[in-house]
Amino acid sequence: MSKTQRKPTIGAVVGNGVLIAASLVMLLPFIWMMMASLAPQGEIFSGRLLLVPDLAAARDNYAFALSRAPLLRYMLNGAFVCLAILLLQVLVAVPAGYALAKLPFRGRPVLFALVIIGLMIPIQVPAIPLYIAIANAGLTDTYTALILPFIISGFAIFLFRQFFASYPDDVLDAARLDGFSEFAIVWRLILPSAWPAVAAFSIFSIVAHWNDLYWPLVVITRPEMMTPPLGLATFRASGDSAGNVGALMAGGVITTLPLVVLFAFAQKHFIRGLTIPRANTSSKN
Amino acid sequence: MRPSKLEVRSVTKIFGAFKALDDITLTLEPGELVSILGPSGCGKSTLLRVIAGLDDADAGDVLIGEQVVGDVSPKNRGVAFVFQSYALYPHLSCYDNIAAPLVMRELSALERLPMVGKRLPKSRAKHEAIDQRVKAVAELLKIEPYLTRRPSELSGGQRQRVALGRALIREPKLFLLDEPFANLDASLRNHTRAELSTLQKRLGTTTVFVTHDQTEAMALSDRIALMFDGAIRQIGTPDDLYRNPADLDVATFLSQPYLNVLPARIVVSGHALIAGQHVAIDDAAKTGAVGTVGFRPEHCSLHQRKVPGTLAVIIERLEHAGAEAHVFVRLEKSGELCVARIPSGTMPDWTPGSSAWLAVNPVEGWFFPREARRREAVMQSAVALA
Amino acid sequence: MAAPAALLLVLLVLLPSSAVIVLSLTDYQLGLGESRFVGANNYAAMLNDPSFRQSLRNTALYVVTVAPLSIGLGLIFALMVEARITLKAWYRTAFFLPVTATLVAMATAWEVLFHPTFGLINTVLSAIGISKVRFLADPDTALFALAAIGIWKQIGYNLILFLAGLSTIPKELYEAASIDGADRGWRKFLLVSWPMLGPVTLFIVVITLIRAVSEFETVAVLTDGGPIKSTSVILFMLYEEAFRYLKIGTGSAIAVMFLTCVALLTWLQMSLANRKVHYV
Repeated sequence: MSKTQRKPTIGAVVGNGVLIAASLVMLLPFIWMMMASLAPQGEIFSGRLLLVPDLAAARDNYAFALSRAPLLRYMLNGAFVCLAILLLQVLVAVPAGYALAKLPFRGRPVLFALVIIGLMIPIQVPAIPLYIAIANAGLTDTYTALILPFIISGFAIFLFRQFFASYPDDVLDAARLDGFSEFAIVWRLILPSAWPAVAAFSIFSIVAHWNDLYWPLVVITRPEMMTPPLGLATFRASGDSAGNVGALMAGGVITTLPLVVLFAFAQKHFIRGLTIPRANTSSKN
Repeated sequence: MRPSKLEVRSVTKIFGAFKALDDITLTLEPGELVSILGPSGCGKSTLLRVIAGLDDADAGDVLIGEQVVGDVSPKNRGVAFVFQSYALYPHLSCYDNIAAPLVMRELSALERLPMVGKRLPKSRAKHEAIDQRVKAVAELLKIEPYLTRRPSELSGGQRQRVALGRALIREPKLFLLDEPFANLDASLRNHTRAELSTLQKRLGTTTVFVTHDQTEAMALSDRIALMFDGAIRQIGTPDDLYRNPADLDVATFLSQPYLNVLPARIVVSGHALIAGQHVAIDDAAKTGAVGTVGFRPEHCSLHQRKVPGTLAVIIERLEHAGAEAHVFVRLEKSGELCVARIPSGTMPDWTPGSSAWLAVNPVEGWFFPREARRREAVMQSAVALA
Repeated sequence: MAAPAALLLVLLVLLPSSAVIVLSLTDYQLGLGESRFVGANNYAAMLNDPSFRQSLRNTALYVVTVAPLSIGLGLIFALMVEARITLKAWYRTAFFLPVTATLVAMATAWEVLFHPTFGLINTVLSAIGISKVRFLADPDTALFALAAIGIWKQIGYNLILFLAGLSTIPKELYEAASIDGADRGWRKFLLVSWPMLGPVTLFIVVITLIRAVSEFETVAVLTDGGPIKSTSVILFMLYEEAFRYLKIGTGSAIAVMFLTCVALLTWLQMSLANRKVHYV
């Protein structure tokens, strides 16, 4: 609309100026991490990073990081754990969400209350008994330990329930008349229609578990089982990185890169996925 | 408040490649109520928004009370706007909604503060003045009982009144109403329409009323401006438009649900050749002209025996419509479909499949020449008016 | 259909969460077989423990720093971004990137920026004549340095939610306001934007509070609770007690406190959301 164009553009200039400055501050740690990972030690310690990367230093930094900390192993661990968690979460939550949305059964209110409770409780609360159980079962330092507590997501169930609730009942009845089992209805009718919810939840889950430090810190001590945040934190705290800021930054870049690249390609999905909690809590239960 | 004149001069509005308004010129005399009528997407709401200043014209001028308002912001144009969705502030009570235009205009930021505001010097008097005006408007619209409620606690009709109240309170120079009855159910719509008409006459405020509903426009307006594709096709009194449509589009739009349309050629002034048959049409003036004859179902009659100047038809089916019925017939010669209206009591006289003869009332039929879509007769009357 | 989910909810959420309450009433220590019921002793000890009280204070200070600033700046930037025509996508991306990035990695980047000798922030400070600050090593500043990271991480999230909230406000409401005399600036904001943002603001306040109360990672990675306990927040203390010193009873008591806190905030949101801020 020309309303805004007619007015003097001072507002636009000031607004853009402030916002560009602010967004550069937001990006500063990324830029700095990247630049430091490409710079020789002396340059970093001088406090004046040059915009021109030093290829030899960059190679040294990345090579050091990759040799002293098994970063690739961490990433594989992280990827495997995230995918396993996501797969199991969806596998458990989709039928449960369907049942809560569409099937009348005794105990439905109880289950729903459980889901809401599950939605609210942060991992740090059940962490202690879960840790004791895992330790007693001799499962520390295993993938099982990393995955198990998260295969049930009250949030996922709630999200899918809300999404399935709007699925037309007539189609379900038609499917039943056509001989679909409830199982087939869930996996062949409901799930394909729910992919936006699944996609959003996937982003939410992957970001949460790729970045999580708390639980891996509790159950993992052996380096070959570590996930990227734990591995990086360990690398930082170890004597290996002491003084070698360039290498530490290289480790940071490697760890951060997968999600940042994914974010660049699927920005809309990321924003949707990470802000779905809002869509939920505001819709009345 | 003295009613103001509204002038729209050659206004054009372009969205990208789409000409939403194409050289619109329109004048409203003080106190007049003019409807902008047209199908959805014809630009009627855009015109209203340009008048209000919510959109800017790309060319042309809007004058309110002889003053060019192109550079005047909406709040300073002295207009009141009723939105189709009412656009009530959901967090404010009805009272505060109605008071909003005065509060925003007449009180300073400090005076608008809750609690404190009223205790400032002079501001008590202002608050009281506003209070009186809100109460007066509420009384006028009979909404006093629910002034303390929020919009979400009201029915559609009540919300509509609150929106009207918010528009009225400033005693604007101009009322702009954008399909204000579209969200009401049918019976409420008729009732509210009558009330609005009375109110407008009483206040004498110049009013532009946008609607896609021809009945509504007919019932309310002093004059109607009929718009198609961003241009005004015809302006006139409801009766003028109804009886004397400028072109086939206008005729079709104002003939709900049916208009009979048959290809025709004028053999001699006053006589058209339709499907090989000479039919008397008073409107058909220019000899040799080719075009279309249009007439409403109520302006033709069915005969069981052949009468000179009628068209031979076959009865296809009948449709009961309460007091009257529609008979669908097909011309024997050319196969065109026509509709005639008959009293529903006479339905048994007409059996599908049987033959009949269709007579067009020569006074009520129109001829629309193909090359110039506007009818000459109307052109002449328009010239005479100007 | 829902049986596996129900079973898992009980096994992995309900039972352990209840067990935490039971454990908080014992003197159980990992590795030691015996444990006794000690009633509310853990809670009493906790409340009398100066280091726990300090961690409560630290958490409170962290929360009252992070929450208002990240919410206020998120709102201001959201309004500014909303008013722009160009570069909107760029701003969204720049502000939201910190939300997705791995905090552990970004914390190490911040550590470099905060570095007393070669950090960019100190370079800039000394350029304008302010003496160097040992941000993360000084007990007076460490918590605020972490709070700065917390704000940096949360602003984008709040901004995106505010933008989403702004985008749901009907255009006609702004148009009605512009005719009623509130066509820009404060008046428009106070008459339309702010009240209409009520529900989303409530949500943002609660989620920001919960996230701030739950801060752990920057502390664990950068300061280890120090210097001299100045950044030991409640979750860090919980981690230390339970998993470093293996004092399960004390750790559980802290966990119960923490749960109470989070549950209270959630309850507050739910009850307010259903009454106060929904107009429709």
